[in-house]
Amino acid sequence: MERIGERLIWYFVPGTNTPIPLGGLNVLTIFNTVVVMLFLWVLLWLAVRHRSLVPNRGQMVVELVVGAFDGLVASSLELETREANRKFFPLICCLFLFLLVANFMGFPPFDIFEEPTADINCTLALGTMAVALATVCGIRAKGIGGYTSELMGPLWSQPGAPMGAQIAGKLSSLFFFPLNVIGELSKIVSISFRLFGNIIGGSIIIIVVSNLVYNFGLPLGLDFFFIFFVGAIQAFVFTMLTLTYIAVAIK
Amino acid sequence: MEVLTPEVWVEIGRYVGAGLALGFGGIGAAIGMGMAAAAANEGTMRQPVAQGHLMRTMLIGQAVGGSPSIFALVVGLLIFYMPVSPEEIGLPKAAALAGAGLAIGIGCLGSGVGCGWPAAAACGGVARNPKRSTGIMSLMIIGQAMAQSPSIFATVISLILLFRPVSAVGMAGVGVAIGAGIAMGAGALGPGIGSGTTAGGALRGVSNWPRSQGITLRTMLIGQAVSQTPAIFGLLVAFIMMFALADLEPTIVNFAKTIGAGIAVGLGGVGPGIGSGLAGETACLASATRPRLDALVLRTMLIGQAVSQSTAIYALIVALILIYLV
Repeated sequence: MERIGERLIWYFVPGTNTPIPLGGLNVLTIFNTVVVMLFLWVLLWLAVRHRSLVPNRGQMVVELVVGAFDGLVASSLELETREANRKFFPLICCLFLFLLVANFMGFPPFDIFEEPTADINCTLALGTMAVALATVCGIRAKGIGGYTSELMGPLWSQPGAPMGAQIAGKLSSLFFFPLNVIGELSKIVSISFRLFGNIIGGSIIIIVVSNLVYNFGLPLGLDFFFIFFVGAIQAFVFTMLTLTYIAVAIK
Repeated sequence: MEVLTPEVWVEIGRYVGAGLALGFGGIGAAIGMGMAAAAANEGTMRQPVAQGHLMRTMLIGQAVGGSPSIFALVVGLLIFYMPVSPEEIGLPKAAALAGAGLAIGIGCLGSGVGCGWPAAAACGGVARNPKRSTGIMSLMIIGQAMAQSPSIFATVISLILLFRPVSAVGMAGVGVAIGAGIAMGAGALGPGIGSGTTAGGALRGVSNWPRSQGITLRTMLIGQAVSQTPAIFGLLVAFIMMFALADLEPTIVNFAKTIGAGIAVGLGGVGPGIGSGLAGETACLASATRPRLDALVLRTMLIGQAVSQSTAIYALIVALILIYLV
């Protein structure tokens, strides 16, 4: 158990002395990410292979999921047209399905399968993507001026106010601007460490308790709680937070 | 007068750590279970017919809400009985044992209390509306599972403190171990309570307006997730201290620095966690009452929570300055 929290990293190209740029390659993380993608691709392809007006079983499940997320995106963003809402739908639906299967990867009892989301690099990349996307959408919706004046705090623009209040408002941005920028950056930390902490926490607790009870009985129940229940909730939370960041940025 | 050899220090760390883990870890869950029982009593008085449903809801709520104290029990026993290899014996290992106890003990206190709110609100709801007991109970379990994530973070930090050799040496190692323990333990206290109050608000709302369960679930999950941000800052600082400070000079100043950083981010997170939980509670009630205004409610809640968390962000910045710049 001394190796808790360590990941397999290749620092050199196998068989040579050439170092891999950017500090190495997290082999298992990348392998498991690819496995998740292939799994989803094959599963969805099998489900919607024979599409028809009267859906068969697989098509119906996929339609249920897609319909639920369509409604979720529409009710969160509340844009005028259906098409504007639909623009974000593929991202949100893919993100949820990817995270769901990724969080379940700890269940197969083989050493090469582990959750890609238990690696901080994976969740940090996804979190950076979510916050960067929200920022870009905010700038696109409000213009660069509108977005910066929001960062400058609530007192930056007060049309019709007397001169003194205007100057005081502009000066207040010295206080609000760093705070807001750090607040935006801390979103990346909080969204990615939340997923990472929950997933790696579950796996560490399972390892330790399995060792304590000599792998008998109890770990299966823990698997169901930490991998399936917590994993599904955290996948949904990450997806909804991404969607909410975008919704707050474009309003 | 006994001589304080390194072996004796490890024994001291072991006893202090196990005591802290079990002592503090039991407080929260006990309060939470009591809250559920109180609400069930009140419900039985109001609606004696629903007694069977009430009893079941109360017992399940207490069983799920008791798991933080079970984490504390497991880690406490591990601290007490874990073998320490001869080359590790020394002050840093003793501090790591005590720090693990701090992290798990205080960290599970908040989540234990937090799990009591949804259980109590669920008992109240079942008394009012016994036919909806299945839906109310599933929402309760989801809310409690979310409210337990700060205690899961605390369990992670304490297990890493236990099983990994402490990277820094000498007094710096002591500071790193205790500081990481305080950062994670106290950092999880407020968010545990806060995400519990949010779940309580959601359950009160859903038991009065059962039709808006889906929308209330979404508001609850987002509110809880955001109110757990201070715990995540604590986790971040604890990780930085445990993994990125291996070459810290073993001086008394570095000891004070790491302890100070841990106290800053840990205690700094208590208020923001509880405060954002209060914001989430009323937001859940609001979106249960008026499901159509859900997007507006969510936006107001998020902006309010972001402002109430600014003190946690200050605390994080102070901790990072202490670690890296001073």
